[in-house]
Amino acid sequence: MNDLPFEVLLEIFLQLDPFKIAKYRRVCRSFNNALTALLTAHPYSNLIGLVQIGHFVNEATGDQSDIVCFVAPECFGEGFLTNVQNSFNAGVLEKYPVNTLNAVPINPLTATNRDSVFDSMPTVFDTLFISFCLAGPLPSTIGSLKELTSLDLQDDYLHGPIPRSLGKLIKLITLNLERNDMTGPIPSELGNLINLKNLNLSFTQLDGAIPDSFGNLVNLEVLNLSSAQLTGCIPASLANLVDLVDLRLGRNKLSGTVPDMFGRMTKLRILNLCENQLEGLIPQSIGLCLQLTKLECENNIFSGSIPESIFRLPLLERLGFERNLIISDNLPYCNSCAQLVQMEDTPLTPSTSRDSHQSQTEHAGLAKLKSLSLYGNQFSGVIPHSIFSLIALEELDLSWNLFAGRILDSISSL
Amino acid sequence: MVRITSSDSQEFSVSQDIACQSQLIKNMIEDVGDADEQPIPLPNVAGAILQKGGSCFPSISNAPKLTLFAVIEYATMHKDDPPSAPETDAKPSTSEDIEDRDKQFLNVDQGTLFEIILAANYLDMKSLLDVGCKTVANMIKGKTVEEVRALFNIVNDFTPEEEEQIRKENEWCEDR
Repeated sequence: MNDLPFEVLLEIFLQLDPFKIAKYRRVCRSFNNALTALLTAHPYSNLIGLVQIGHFVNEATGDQSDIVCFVAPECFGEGFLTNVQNSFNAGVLEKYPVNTLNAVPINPLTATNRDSVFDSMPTVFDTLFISFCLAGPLPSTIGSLKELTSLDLQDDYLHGPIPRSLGKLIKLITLNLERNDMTGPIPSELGNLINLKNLNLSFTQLDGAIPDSFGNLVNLEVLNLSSAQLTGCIPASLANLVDLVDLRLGRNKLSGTVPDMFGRMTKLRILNLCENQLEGLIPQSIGLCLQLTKLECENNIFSGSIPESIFRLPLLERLGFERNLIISDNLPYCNSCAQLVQMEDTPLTPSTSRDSHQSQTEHAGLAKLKSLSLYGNQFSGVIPHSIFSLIALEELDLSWNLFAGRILDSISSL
Repeated sequence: MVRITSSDSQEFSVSQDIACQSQLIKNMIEDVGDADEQPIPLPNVAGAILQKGGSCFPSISNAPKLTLFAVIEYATMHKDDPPSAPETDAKPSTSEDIEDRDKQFLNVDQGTLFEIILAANYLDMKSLLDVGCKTVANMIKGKTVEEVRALFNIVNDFTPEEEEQIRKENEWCEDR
């Protein structure tokens, strides 16, 4: 049999389940040659399938899920499936016997989102609704699902690295891997996904730097990389992301100074940089983000003073600067806050607002501020009277500073 | 009628529609023009002394295999088949769908089976090659590497280092 011509061996292997032939590479040289050629050529090199590896009942909620993993021809086998079953650590998995499992190929033409990826899965039960959860690593052939516009894998049980080939899914608008045990660096190829509006890699174990190439993702509205293990500096290229509404880089190990990159992010509502090792001055340009409602910079090593313009942001509801090294003689917003009462709810359009910043006109902000947290810094001087006219304030923490003087009676107006 | 000769100089006379199930013969006839003139030599296909499976002259050893005879038998059996439908990518053929008469036809010893497959490959007879390969695929299906080696008498011709290398690359799909 091993002296059959190459093309005949190919014909034979073509008759077998493409997900189950890689193991026969080890039979002999001629098998290895034929199989290697087959598996690295189209369409085998692009095959991706799903295997149901078990069933899981969440004892707390009673929810039932079939646990499914992605497979590619080069990573299908009993050893692989056993590994994935054993890596499932969310509770007791009712494991299906690995030697009985078959892969169901995903149709790359119809898979456009999470639900349609599962379309080919047979449902084990005749119930109306069966939910599938994914476990295991993402195979590199996921890059062949080129019609995907949304890949929402939040709260699955994935682990392993993000394959570089995800960068081929250029129709993606949403990529969400929140709360998976993804490890390794963020591939710079994700910067090719120029149609992305929502990129969420938060609550993962991803490490390494934020790729420079993210500056290409000019359609991004939400970029959430918080609560991972990211290191290095924040790339200045993010200044291109002018449609950002929500930028969260908090709870990582980012260091260095923050580029003064917010000047064109006029739609930004949430900026979260907290719990990193960011240092240096707080960028002036944050003060230009007039839609900002939450600014969270706590638990860093910022120094200098808080730019005055930040205290004039009209929609700000939460301002967190606690536990930094901010050194300031006094809180800088005394003057602007003086007009708070008159100016509350004054809507500022972006055009006039830029003016107002530069010309220091009377527009004041903070009328909506609910939470002001400045504790653990080095503010000194007198607590400004105007702070007590923040009529929406629900939470104020100025402790562990170097304030002097007496607390004014007007605190009672809060 | 078309005359064809096997590697051991056996001559067969078969009708054109049967012979032309071989794309190779069909092309030759088209190239040569008149098929009656002289026999078509098939130097790579052994002729026919024995009946398929060796049942006629079981005592004669080392006899040329009956490959061409068997191939002609297959072609005769299938001469009225409709032309095969163009292959679609949507539904790949599976090794399960073998007609019963083909199953019976290929119920032969391994050596004969591979001779038939080789002949079908040489003669470019797609449907015969297809069922032949499916039959072998069914023999492989579900077996471990060691079982496949034993079944087909395949000698492991890797050096230990090479096999280890493949084992490493295939770590995730090795059976446990």
